[in-house]
This record gives sequence, structure tokens and C-alpha cells, in this order.
Amino acid sequence: MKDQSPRLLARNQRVHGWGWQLVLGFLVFACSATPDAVNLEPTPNLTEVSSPFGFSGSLASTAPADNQLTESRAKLGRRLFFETALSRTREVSCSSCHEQSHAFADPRPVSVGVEGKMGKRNAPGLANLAWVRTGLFWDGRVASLEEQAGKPIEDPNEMDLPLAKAVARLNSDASYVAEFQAAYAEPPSELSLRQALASFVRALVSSNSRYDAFLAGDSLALNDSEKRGSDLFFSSRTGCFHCHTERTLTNDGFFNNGSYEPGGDIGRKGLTGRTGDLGKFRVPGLRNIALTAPYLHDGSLTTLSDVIDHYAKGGRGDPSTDVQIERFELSAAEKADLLAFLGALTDEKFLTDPKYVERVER
Amino acid sequence: MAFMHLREGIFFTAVSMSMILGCGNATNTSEGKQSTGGTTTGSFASGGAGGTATASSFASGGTGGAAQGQGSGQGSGGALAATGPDGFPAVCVNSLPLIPGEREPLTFSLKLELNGKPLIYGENNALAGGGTLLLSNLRFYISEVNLVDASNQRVPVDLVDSGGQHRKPYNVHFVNAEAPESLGLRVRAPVGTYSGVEFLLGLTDGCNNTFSPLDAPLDEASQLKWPHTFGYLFLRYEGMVTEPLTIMPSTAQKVHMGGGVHERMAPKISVLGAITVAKANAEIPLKFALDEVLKGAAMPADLANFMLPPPAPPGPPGAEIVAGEHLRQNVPKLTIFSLSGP
Repeated sequence: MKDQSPRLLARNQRVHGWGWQLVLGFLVFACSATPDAVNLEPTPNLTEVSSPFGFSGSLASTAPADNQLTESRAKLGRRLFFETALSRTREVSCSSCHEQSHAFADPRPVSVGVEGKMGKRNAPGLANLAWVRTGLFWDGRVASLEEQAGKPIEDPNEMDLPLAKAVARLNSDASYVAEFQAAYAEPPSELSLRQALASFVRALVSSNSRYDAFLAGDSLALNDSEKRGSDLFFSSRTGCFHCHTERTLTNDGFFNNGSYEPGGDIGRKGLTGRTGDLGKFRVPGLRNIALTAPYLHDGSLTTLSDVIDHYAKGGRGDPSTDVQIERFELSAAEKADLLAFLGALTDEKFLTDPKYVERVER
Repeated sequence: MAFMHLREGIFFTAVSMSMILGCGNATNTSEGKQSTGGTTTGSFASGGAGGTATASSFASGGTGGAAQGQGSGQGSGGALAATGPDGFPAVCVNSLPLIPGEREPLTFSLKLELNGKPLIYGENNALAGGGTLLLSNLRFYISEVNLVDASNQRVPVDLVDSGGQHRKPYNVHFVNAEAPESLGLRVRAPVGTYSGVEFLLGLTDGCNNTFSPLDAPLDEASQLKWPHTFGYLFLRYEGMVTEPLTIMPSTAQKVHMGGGVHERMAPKISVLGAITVAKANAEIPLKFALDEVLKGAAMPADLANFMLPPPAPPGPPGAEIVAGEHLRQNVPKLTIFSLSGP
């Protein structure tokens, strides 16, 4: 097994090599064909990507049987992701709150929808959601990406457009009708709208951080400070690993991380009604965490340094806090190491990958 | 906590040594018949080779002979002749064929209890002496299930999915107190009357020490994957106890059992009681006593060999891991599982 890691690494490098050739070819073609940035083609492949090291199963295997992952579906989903016509005022799209440069998170504390309406939670990053099995949104209230995709469109504080009206708008656009026919062999419908969006989000895979290379066997991928930070992260002293596992960096669970305060957002309890679910929220994966500020479900912590301080003091003190959130002390140097490790989780390619940029297929 | 951060070099040395030890154990222990002397024991010897579909030693029973499935762990499937140091298959195989022969379904319905009363997940459960226990997390693995027949022979059974036609991945059942469907442990067994059931509370050494990423239920989403390259928790408990704290040990807050390699193997459970497998799908209650878990976590244990040599990450082992080791060592003295009438 030890020799699997270099093989994996080599495979990744080959994939990346092809990827850049495609990008280069695409850029050359684009410059000669049209200056319109949203009408470039051919586009890089969205769905043929390697799973991050340690993730269970291929990307394709994560898709449900009734929405198998195809290029046409993912690319249609990408167009819809940037489509402002899916909001009542035609001003807000999914991408308004999920910015690629922030790993598809929202740099604002809470989402801002149509006519400036404020949500109550921070829009999280979207990387590697294909592998989530325990429910999406901060409280896990939906079971699948397909179910999730329609919720922000209809939410009065977000895009505020009934799905039926969204579908009508799409059906009035011949280019959309053609794309839906190609992807789902039918005109736009509520189901295929959600499925297409889910296909694009499923294809948002981040697997090229230096930590990924380290996991895959490149022991030099992290510097000494980052390695010390890794040791701290995975030690019982800080206990970060209780929720943020080694490979996926999330245990897919829901925990009260000490951010609940009386009168605040009750989190998963709002879904289950259970006493013990008070203040529980989804444990997010941490790839690109340095780019997804502000932090926590409500965006109440501005920096990663604030986050470390939050956990170091054992949270905000409410008795509902999980028993694993315990006070710890770090020296300034140790805190710097921990921050360095978190920085090594950044996947620069994911942040700038042209295949995730708005474009229209022709 | 050196064992937490062993990297590949040490790990593979350990694996190699375990394989050598495992082969030795396999040839030196061959107790095809094993007495079941108590409600819960941890004293099964490693079984020898030659397990069959009808009766075998505890250790060899789970394989049902040569496995032909796809190995997604340390090997690529094929014959499971090699055993690990615990006497079980050294290779962790995802897809195993059903044990051949005519068999009928039987469901063990897990009943979570606290001091003899139903234990409700996510709610405050009354403690006998006052105060409450709020169960916030309880997860564990059950594997290598055998029934015990009238002559104390162990009969390996399939752990199967809800449809009853497919063996569960890795021959493992994953219990999560938050997921009621996980409380039904379904097996296929020959029609007959049995005097008890045996299983591992955790994983075989072969699965516990697999380096490669495994599929559910042995993935990180189980919340039992030890985050340091290899190893699993066999049982994870977290809860909140309100006053009076004096009636409960400090370990009542969290217990994480397992996470080590080789020398800290999964406890072996034996539960006595009449079990009948008939043509109709029978359901038998199997009680799980959380109070016994908490008691075991507070009982004395030998921690002299608990730590492994450096390199180690900064800081001492967590209290939950220490409590878990206390529990693991004391399982033979506890009655965590018991059968009750149908």
C-alpha cells in the first residue's frame, strides 16, 4: 500500500497536466474566436476529476441513480448557478453568495438576498459536497444536493422566486430549452432545474491543496511550521480532530461548538425538536478555510485567529456546548503553527479554475 | 500519545510484525469448541483454521471459508487464509459472498437502556440517584457474529442488509443511536435453536489496521475513524450529566474506546439466552446497557503499555481515550449486552 501514494500523486499530476493543456488550448481558441467572456468554448471538462485522497468512492458514484453526472448536466448547472433570472428581481444568483475566489463561500457574515434582505446564516463553501451523506445546510434539513438546490431560489430572504415561475422563465428562453433537452431529454422542469444545479455543485471538487499532496505521500509538501500545526490539530490537546477528521476534514456530523448563546439560533433543534440538538450545526470541511471568512454558522468570527481563540476558551460558555469543546492553551508560536497548517489547506487551483467560471455552451 | 501520529514507516513495521504474530497465533490456537460460561465474557481464544458454514471456532467463523469479494483494504480479496493476531482474517474485505447453505433471517433489535430503562437519544434521561444524562452521541461497531448451538459449537452467520440478500460491507454492523434503523442487527442463520450469540464489540485487527481509505461504514463519516492514518474507535460515547455529579463518574461525559493498534483489540462479547431461528423472520430484543459502559470506563485498568514510543504529538492523551481503554479492559467483567424474551 505504501506505493499507492506515489501512484496516486503521479496520476493527479497527469490529470493536472492535461487540465492545463486544455486550459491553454481553450485560451488560444477563445482569443481567436470571440472576446465575449461568457461565450467561450470548448470548455474544460467538469466531471472527469479525481476524488480527493481518502474520500470514499469516485465523483460519479456520489450521484443518485436518477441524476447521473454528465457533462451536459454539470455545464447546464453551471449556467444556472450564475443565472440572475432565477431570482424574483433578476438581480441575485447562486453565485451572489457563493464566490469562487472564496471557495464558493460568502465573504459577508450572512447572505444578502433580493432587495437587500438579510438571511440569518453564513453561506458556506461548496467544495466536496458530493461526498456529504448526512444532510445539507447548516442544520442538515435536506438530504441531497438535488433537494437543496431549489431552497435558496424560493427562500423569501434569498432569491424569492417560486420554482414554477423560475421554470417558466427558463422555458421562455430557447437556449435553455435546448440545453435541458440535451441534458435531460425534456424541457425545463422543477425537477430538472434542481438536478442540473446539483450536478454543478457536485462537480465542485477541491483536491489540490498542499495538504492533499501531503496525504497522498509527498512528505515535503508541508513545511516544518505546518507540520507542527498539523500535530497540534490532530492532538488531544486541541481536540480539533474530534470533528475534523484527517482526510475529509469533516466527520459529517452536527455538533454544538460553543457558539450558541441563549436566544440565538437553535440550529438542528429547529429540525428535530430534540433537547440535545440545541445549537448543533454541520461540521464543515476545512479545505480552503483560510479563504472562507467570516466563520461559524452566523459569520460571527472574523478571522481564523478568532476561531482558534473561540475554541481555546471553550466556546461562549453555554451549558449546551458539546463536552468535547474544552479549554486549551497555546503559545504564540503554536498558534502561528496551527494557522500555518490551516493555510496549507488552500487549493489555489480551485479558487481560479476556469471550468467553474460563468460561461454559456453553444 | 505516540500511537496517534505514527506515520508510514512505523505503521508498516507494525503491520509486518502483526502478520508474523498472526500466523503464529493461527497455528497455535485451534479451539474449535468454546465454552460460553457467562452472560458476557471476553475470553474467547483465537479460533483455528477449518471453520465451516455449520460450526466453527469463533475466530474463523466469520469468513465462511475463502472470500471472493473485492478487497478495498490491504489486499485484493481472494482466499483469507492468513489471520491477524486476533485470529480473524488479516485482510479487510468489503464485498463478501453469503455463507452457503439454507438460512433464514433473524433480527436482533437493539434496545438502548440506562439503569434498566429505555435510553432516549438527544433527551435528558433520569439517573437513579437524581440528575439527568443527555445522550448526545453513541456509536459502535459489531462484527464477526456467531450463534452458539446446543453443543456449544459456534455457527457463523451472515450480517446482512435490510433486504436480507446481501452481506454487509466488511461483515460489520454500524450502530448510531441517532439513526433508529441502525438498531436492527439482521443476520441469516440456519434454522434451529441456539443458546447464545457472540460477536466483537468493534472491528477485527485486519480492518482496524487498514491504511487505505475504506467505504462506509468504515469511512470518516462514521465518526469512529481514528484521524491518524489508521485505526478506529470501536465505541464512541458523549453525553452531558447534570447534577448531582457525585452519583456518576467523571467518565460519564465521554468515552472513546479503541483507536489503538494490535495490542488493543476489540472486546469479544458472548451473550447467553435462547434464540430460535425459524422460517418466519424472528426478532429478538438485544439490550445494551449504557450504565455498564460508564461503569467499565471508571473501573481500574492496566495502562502500563498504553503509550507507544515517540514520536508523539504535543500533549497527553485525551481523557476520553483513557476512559475508553479502561472500558476495553473491563468488558469481560461487564454485562453490556443481554438477551431478553421475544
